[in-house]
Amino acid sequence: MIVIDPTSPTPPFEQLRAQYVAAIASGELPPGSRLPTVRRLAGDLGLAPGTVARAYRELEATGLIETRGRHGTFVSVDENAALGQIQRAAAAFAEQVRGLRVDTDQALAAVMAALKTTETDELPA
Amino acid sequence: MSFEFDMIWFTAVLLCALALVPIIYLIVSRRRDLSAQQAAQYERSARLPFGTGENYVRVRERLRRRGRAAMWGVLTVLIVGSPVILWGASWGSPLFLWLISLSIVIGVLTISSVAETIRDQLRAPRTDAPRVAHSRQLTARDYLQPWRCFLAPIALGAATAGVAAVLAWWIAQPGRIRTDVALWCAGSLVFAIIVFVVMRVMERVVLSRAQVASDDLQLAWDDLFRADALWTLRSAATMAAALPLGMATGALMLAPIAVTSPDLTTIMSPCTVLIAAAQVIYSLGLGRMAASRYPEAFRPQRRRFTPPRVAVPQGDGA
Repeated sequence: MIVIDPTSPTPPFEQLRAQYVAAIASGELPPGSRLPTVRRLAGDLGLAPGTVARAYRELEATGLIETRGRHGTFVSVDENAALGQIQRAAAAFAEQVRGLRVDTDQALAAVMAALKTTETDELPA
Repeated sequence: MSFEFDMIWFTAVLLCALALVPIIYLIVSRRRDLSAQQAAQYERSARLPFGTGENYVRVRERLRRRGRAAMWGVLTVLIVGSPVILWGASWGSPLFLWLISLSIVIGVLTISSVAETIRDQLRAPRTDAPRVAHSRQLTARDYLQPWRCFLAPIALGAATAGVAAVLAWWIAQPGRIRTDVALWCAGSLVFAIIVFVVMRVMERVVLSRAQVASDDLQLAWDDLFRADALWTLRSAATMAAALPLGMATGALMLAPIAVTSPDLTTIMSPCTVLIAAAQVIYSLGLGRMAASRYPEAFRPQRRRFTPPRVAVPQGDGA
């Protein structure tokens, strides 16, 4: 299920994107699952088609979903899509670290701190 | 009196009796308590609770509107179509008329159910309320059991094979299969194919309609109505396929053993059995598939009747 809360401070496209990421990661949406059309999902959720299209574009850019022409949009069969995205992000990060001439240990410590902060944020109150 | 005259009178009485059903329903359904009973039965068979009073009222009103729309449709078609049916009575048989009447009733019920699903949203959208949607594209298989989905194409496939065999036999041995029988088989097959194609198109229309829901339970109820409409469409397509299948079966079974080539009335007998069987099969476990997709917590507790405790007066007379 996808739930969009119009009173939430998070923009609707981000709510949609995050819920699809979670659904794919948890296995609720297995690889090969067909997603609703942009127009249909927009109608169901009371959103503009452009908002849904933006969320789909971002998910497609990360490799989590793929568009197969007029057959529709599907969850990527490539199970390592998320890992691939992480590797690409890590490569970009490494290049930035080298460009800024930051020490490797310092860079790793920054990453660990960032991950720990995210974990703390996700913990229930 | 001639046979044709008797048939016209018989048909007129049959039409009046058929027309009484929607008339009585339309009068009785004006009472709110009847629609409340319908809603309670629907809740029990679907095994989904209403949740809120608002949801209950909406479901109850929708059931009432759907029933009344169907009965208005049946009544209108009976009134408008009665001259044609009476004209057909002058040369047709009771069986033939029964099939026509049944086709009309099934057709109207199908159209009204689908039209209600497409036209009527269960609830009005609110801009400030959360909205819920299915995360994946749902098909008819998500709403209906597999056997219920495949029955219509299987019946149509069998009908096509049967009619092809009848036509081949008619070409090879025109004396054993009458021309009108062969033509009726072919015509009813064309009708069944048209109904099947229309059913698929309508199915897409029903599935592409937006669902307005603020929580899982509202979506579940919307899914139930959607499952009903899909069930009606599949059921109509199967029954339409039962016509050529029954005719072809009758022709192929009776032609080798009958002394003379069987006529149209004789070969129609299996149709009635097949249509009745399709009706019974399709009515089994209706709506449970859609409901079963939702969490167990939605299911209402089984209500067991427990007799109230009666305080026995303490006395010395017992």
